[in-house]
Amino acid sequence: MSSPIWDVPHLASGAPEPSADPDKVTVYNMRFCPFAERTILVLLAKKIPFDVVNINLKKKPDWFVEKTWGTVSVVRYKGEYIMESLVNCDFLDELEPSTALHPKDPLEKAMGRLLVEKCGKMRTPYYGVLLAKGDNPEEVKMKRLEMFHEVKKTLEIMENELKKKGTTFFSGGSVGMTDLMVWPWIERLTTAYRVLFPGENLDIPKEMISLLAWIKNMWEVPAIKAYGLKGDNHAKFYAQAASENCDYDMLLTKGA
Amino acid sequence: QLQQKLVRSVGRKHFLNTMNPCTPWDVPHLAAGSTPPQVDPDRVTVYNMRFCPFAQRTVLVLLAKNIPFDVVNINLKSKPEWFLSETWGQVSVVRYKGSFIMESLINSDFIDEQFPSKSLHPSDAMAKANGRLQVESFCKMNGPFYKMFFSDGTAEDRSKHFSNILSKMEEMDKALKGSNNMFFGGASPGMTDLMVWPWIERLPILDLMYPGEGLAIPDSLENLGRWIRDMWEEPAISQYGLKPEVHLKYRQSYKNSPVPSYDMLLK
Repeated sequence: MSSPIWDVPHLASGAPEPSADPDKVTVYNMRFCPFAERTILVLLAKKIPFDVVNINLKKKPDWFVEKTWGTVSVVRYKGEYIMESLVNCDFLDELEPSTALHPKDPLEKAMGRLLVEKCGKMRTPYYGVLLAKGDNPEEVKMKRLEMFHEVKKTLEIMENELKKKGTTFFSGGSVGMTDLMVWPWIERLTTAYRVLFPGENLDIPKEMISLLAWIKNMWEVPAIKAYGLKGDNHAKFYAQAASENCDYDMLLTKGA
Repeated sequence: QLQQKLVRSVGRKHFLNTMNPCTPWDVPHLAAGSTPPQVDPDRVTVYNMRFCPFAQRTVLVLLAKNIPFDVVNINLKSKPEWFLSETWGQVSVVRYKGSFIMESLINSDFIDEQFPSKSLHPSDAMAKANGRLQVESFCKMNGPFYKMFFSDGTAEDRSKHFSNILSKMEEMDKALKGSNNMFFGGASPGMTDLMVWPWIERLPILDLMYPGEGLAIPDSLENLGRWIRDMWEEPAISQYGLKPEVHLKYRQSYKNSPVPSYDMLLK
């Protein structure tokens, strides 16, 4: 069985820029990056064929720094580079209107974009949990709990929104742009925290029934089934992400 | 008579030809304790502050697309309770058919999509994406501008901030040079032009605030200079835009009292 297109080595400085088919979408990506995951999920959900160039973000190739804004994802298409995950996801959605992920109604679309913006507030405390520091282990645990309390505020917003809507997904009966744009951080906090910080109860509260159901349903979405990482994968990446020789290719050496 | 009064106070020739006697933004800024405004759900209402550059984006989009709208001005130092409970507490907000749409970029896009005639975004997806990236990049000047506008700092700080602004102005000049069009949007101002304009309009204030420090748009940026002049000729810009002296007077009202003179333009 051939390995997926995204299971390619992360290119570092010194590596030449790969040639891209201008008539095919190429994504400059990093396998564990939540922002870049948005773009991959959109492409998979819309069944748009694409190539992937993975980037070593600690040792960025010169061509990457010169031709883009230096962060992933970037969509390379017809000789142009489109930065910013939200902008390139919208671009891809407009490229193939037959598989629209945004709703047709402008009001509904705007509401979806606002929800994505609102959920973005979870990012800072989410990283806060991962990077919490202190003078002693008890202090660090307290800090993590504090940060997770902040994360929960956004989780509550998501829970209330789903309850109010009464639909399977934020976008309605089928998965849409809103769901895909917010998913990557949920994927990480629900898998990484319990592995990295066992016994600290940094879990989504059981009372958040709608949110937990949404998460279950999202894992069944083909795009997420294909690209999402379960188990200890994110935890393993984060455990060594701060090191200078961060192993972006850890999933490749594991084997298919 | 009102028309003549306004022409005198703003002093622009185009007002006679293009002005709609209705200037919905010439209303008092509502503060805490005020009764919630009654709005027509089938009309666009903008929650605004007369001097806010972010909110100006939304007003410009409505004017450029000739969409009739109402304005509710908000006293941002003493926000009404209904404003805080219904919105995210910042302007602009577009209120339409019972919904509140926050965030100037999102509500500007909403208006462009809800009222599709006279599209401000290009129809080509790539061109639209590039335009959005231009807005993102050019608007990196907003941060340094605010630092200079709101806090005094030292001449050295100001020089540093201004050099960041300058690099963005150079970027804009270069982009205009490389294109055959008058505006970023083509033959008429598009979304990119309108989203960036409010900060360009305010840049000349810096030289007025700190004269002699060289905080002016260099004449060498000819393409940018030409674009600025062309923008001021556009009805949407000239109807709502304010001269640097007026912006400066507003800024100075901050220094004299805890609450700026939000209503200083009202008679």
